[in-house]
This record gives sequence, structure tokens and C-alpha cells, in this order.
Amino acid sequence: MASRNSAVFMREVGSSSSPNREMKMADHSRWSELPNHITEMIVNRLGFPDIIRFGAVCRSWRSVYTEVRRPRYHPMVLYEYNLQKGTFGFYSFEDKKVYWINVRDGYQSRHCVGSCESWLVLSSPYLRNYFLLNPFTGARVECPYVNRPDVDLFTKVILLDSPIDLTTKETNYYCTVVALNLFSTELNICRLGDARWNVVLKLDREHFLGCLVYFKNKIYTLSTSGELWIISLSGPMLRATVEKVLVQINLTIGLEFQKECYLVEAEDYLLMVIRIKRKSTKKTVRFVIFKLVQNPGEYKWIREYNLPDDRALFLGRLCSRIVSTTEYGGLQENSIYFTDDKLLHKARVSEYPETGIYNIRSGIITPYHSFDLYPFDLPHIWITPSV
Amino acid sequence: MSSTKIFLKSSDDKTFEIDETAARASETLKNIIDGGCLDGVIPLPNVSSNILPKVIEYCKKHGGDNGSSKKIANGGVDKDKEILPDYDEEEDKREKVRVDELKKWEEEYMDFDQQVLYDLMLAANYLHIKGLLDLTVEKAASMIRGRTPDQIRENFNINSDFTPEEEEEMILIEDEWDDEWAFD
Repeated sequence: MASRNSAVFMREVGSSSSPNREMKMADHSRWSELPNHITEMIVNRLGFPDIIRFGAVCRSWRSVYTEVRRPRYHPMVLYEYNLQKGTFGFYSFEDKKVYWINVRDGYQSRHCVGSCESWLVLSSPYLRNYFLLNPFTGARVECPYVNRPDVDLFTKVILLDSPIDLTTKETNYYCTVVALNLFSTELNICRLGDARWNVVLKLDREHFLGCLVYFKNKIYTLSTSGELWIISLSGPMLRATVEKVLVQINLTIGLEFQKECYLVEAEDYLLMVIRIKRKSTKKTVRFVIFKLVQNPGEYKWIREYNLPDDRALFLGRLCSRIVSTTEYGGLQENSIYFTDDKLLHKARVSEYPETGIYNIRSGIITPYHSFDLYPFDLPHIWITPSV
Repeated sequence: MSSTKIFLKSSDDKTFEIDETAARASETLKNIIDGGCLDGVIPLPNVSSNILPKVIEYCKKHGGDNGSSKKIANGGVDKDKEILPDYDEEEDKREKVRVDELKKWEEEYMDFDQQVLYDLMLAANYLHIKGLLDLTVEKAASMIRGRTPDQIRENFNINSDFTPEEEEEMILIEDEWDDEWAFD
């Protein structure tokens, strides 16, 4: 086995037992007394996971590591996760390597129902609760108690803020969490400091398409009737104001195909990506991209044939993200990195979850890893480490 | 090019000579020179006599130019350089030779242990020699990349000062290929 010394500390979030005990200064190397601004220069040249290992060297380096946190790193694939054992396996596109994180006692969690940047949304069924976990730091934040029998059934969760205040490193109790239930008929909202979840929207005759995105301070989702729902939250009670607009798209697909919709925040634009699968094989054949354009009193989906320069799209049911291929090495531009994470709440599934890179110009699909990431039956999740 | 000589005194009272143009690679020295306080010797109480020659060697190589060293430190020539119609291939070749030569020089120059690295880094910081500071910082970063905390501690001669309780609470991040590469 690999060295157990390659370790990071678990950081308890909101924990009151801050270790304030005397620090033994025996036999210090001069390197741990380097002026902070120089140590910061060194840290700024480190990527992931070197930065985590840097922070595990000694106390003084750890304090610099804690100070100098960059918001996010290279996108990765979380391809193996045993929540009960607390094991996470990541594949990095940057150095084409696999990394593991092991948490001693595991999380007593059955399902991962969401991911947002570096946070996973996990369910703890016995406690009728959800919690947020940053596997890279061990930071854990509890969501309000769900006093309902279908607690297990959130299938899509998004965070509107960071669950941790980056300055104080305490829980950000104002962080808003939005969730869709299993049948995508209810929009549930809470803040981390609230006593409970609230159902802010409920559909009777139709349902949402399972996509939910936060874009320019509003929540966007699509319903089965093709309506775009634009939801603003206001006031201390998070009152929801809904604007519903029917926006037609010009797309005809054959009867042998089915489509899935994704909404993606792409910097200044909101994109709708339609994934077309062959019904017989359940395999993706093509992606079609639309950009939302708002003219006064009118919304339009405009077909886009390419991504902006040097951009790649990470597409998933749990979270999607557009990234710069110049900023992050090892990625192909004008491509869609896709995964099939909608079956997450079913734990392990029999069919092989589909993954790959779709070249938008050529329409060719290639695998994104040169070797098989074992095991093969867990849906891959996009995750962007932050520490 | 004729140049005024400047004298620097190390913390252990040894005096070294340097050309003014070379000394200008250091912001600190440049300010002293421009401030007109050049009568006699500049004392450098934070730089010892075993590091100062090393600093002078760097300044001689980079005297008068503060910018280009950074380019080298960041990986040399730009691979994606756009080829323009009036692109001078010969000039580019000469530039490439110059960059290669400088890289080779830097490689040899930077061949020392962590103790010298530490002192040189602090000297570059104190004398405000940005290129040298970048170079030393990059070397330190390269001694961290791809290594376990244990290997990093060994590289820098640092002892872990975490308590056993803290070690107990550790989350482990492991590199799948540690098995093969950890002990090379």
C-alpha cells in the first residue's frame, strides 16, 4: 500500500474544540520559519494535490496553507466512492493520475445526491438528514433536518453560496441550498442556519426536467412543457418569485432517439445542452447546444455550433461547468466531457455508466482516460478540488 | 563597457567587488546607488560571505535586465509562438541558443543543497532580486511536487511538529503510483 504518511488533516467545521494547546518548538528546521510571503510564493506554484501535502508537513506550513487557499483547482473525476468506508478515488486530467483519499471512520452515508464545486451532498438516511462534505479537507456541514418520509429522495441539489466562510472558516449559515425531489415536482429550499427545509414550488400536472442552475442571482429550471422557469429569491424568508416563459427550440430528432436536457452556467451565458441518445442502446450519439438570449420582453434559445475559444464543458446531471483549457492543462478545447450521473441515488447500477469526450466540431466521442477506472459501475461525478 | 565598481560587505565583514551594472539587478542596491550613497562600502548585514559570491554571480549574469530571467524561470521559449510572415528564423535560432545557454547556466548555478537554497532565497528577498527569488522559489516548489509529506520533510530537513492526536485525525490522500515511485 502507499505510504500512510501522505496525509491531510481533517478540519472540523464549526467545531468548538479548537486545539489551543502548547506547541512544542523542539528542533525546528529554518524552513518552517521562512517569511510568510516567500512561503506563499512557493504555495502559489503548487497544484493539487501537492498543496494538500505541503500543508501536512509542519504546523507553520499548515498555517500558510490554511491562509492561502485558492478557490479552485483543476476539474477532476470522482470515480470511486465508498461512503461507508470513507474512500474516494479521483482521476486528474492534468497529470492523468489517480488519487485516493481515505477517511478513517467513513460517513454512514448511503447516497451522494449532488456535487457543487468541491462539495458533495450526501444523505445520512438514519438521521433523516443531508450533509455537505468537502472530501479534500474533510470539512463537513449539516443541512437542516428534513421532517418528511421521502427524505432519501432529493436527486439534484445546488448550493448558491460557499458553505464555508473563506475568511473565518466557519459555517456560512446564510448559504442557500436548493433541491429537487425524486419526481422533480418540488423545489425545496433552505439556508444552512434554518431549522427546516421549505417547499417553495410544487407542480401537479407536469414536472421539472431535473436540471437546476444558479445564474446571475436567479435559479433556472425547465419543465416538461418546455417552459423555462426563472426563480428569484428575496427577503429574509426567501420568498420565491417565478417568471415562466415558453421558449421554443428548433430541434427535431428521430423516433429512435431520446433527449436529456442540461442547463449550464457558461460565464456570461446560460446554455442548454441537449444530449441525444439512441433509445435501443442508451448510448449518446450527439450533443446540441443552445444559448439563451434575452431581448426586451423575449427570450430565445439560439443554436451554438461551437464553444467559445479555448473552452471545454464538463457536463453532468449533478453539476456542469465550463472551463478554460488554457488555464487548465490536459483538456481538449471545444469538447464536452460527459458522464452519466443521474443514476446516483440508486447506488450501484447494472448498466455501465457512460462517459467520454465529445468533440463538438467532429462529433467524435473518445474515452477520457486511457485505462479503465475500476470499478466500472459507479457513475462518475465532476468535482473541482478546493482546500 | 566600463563600469564603476561597487563594494559590498557581508555580515561576517568580508568585502566583495561588483560592477555597478551588475549590482543594478538588485532593486535594493539600485536604490542605494541612485540615492548617491556610494562613498565606500555597502554593508549587507543579512548576507553572509558564503552566499554573497553566489548572489554576485547571479547579478553578473543578469546585470541590467530584470525581466528576461523570469521568462526563463517560467519554462523558456514560448512553444506556441505565432509564426508571422516577416518572422526572422535566424533571429529566433539565436534567441533559442541564448535561452538554452541561460537555462543550462541556471541549472548549474542552482546545483546546491537546501541550506544554500534557504540562504540564497532570503538574500534574494532582502536584496530584491526578483529573478533570483523566482528561481529559488521554483526550486523549492520542485522539491515539493509529487512527494509525500515525509519526503518533503526529508528534502527540507523539517521535523513534523503535529501531535499524535492530530496524526490520529488524519485524512489520507494517496497517490496510486506511490508503490512504484516512492523510494526512487
